[in-house]
Amino acid sequence: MGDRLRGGEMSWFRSLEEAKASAAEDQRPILVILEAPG
Amino acid sequence: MTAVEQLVAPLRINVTDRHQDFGDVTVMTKVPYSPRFRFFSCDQKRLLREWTGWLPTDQLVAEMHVARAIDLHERKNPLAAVEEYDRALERAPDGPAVAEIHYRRGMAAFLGNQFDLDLLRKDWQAVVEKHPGTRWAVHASVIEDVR
Repeated sequence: MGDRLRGGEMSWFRSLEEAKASAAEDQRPILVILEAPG
Repeated sequence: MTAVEQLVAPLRINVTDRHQDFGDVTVMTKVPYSPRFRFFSCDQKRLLREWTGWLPTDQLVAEMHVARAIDLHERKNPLAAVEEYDRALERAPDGPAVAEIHYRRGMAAFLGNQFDLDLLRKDWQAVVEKHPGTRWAVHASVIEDVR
């Protein structure tokens, strides 16, 4: 599943490349959340 | 219930971090407000869905199922898409996407069941009757002319 960061109910991939590889393997969409601090 | 983290491959980027993938994931868009949610197809070739703003957990998970459904539908698997729409409705039966989900599920069920008009009519009539005033009700209203 790659190197991911834990955070609440979700865990997160560190890079798009890792997310893409997992998404392609499992045939699931990629979710990207772009957020600002604060 | 499927674990949430198995529904999608999630990546979270702080827009001030100069993340190496920022350019790739913001292609063809601006990010004027935070947070911006973007769902890409499993091959990352298509943008499936996007919006700005946090959602309650149930509605966010429902959106994940909708994204999975759209991805499956576009990959020529409408029956699997119907199952994902069902899960989305189970997770957030009163959410803001219900009319859209019924609209999309009706089309997926129609295409996946040898163009069964009864399945299309069932969902689209529900959209028209239960969600008047939405754009989905406007789209679905054509069902009244279908014989």
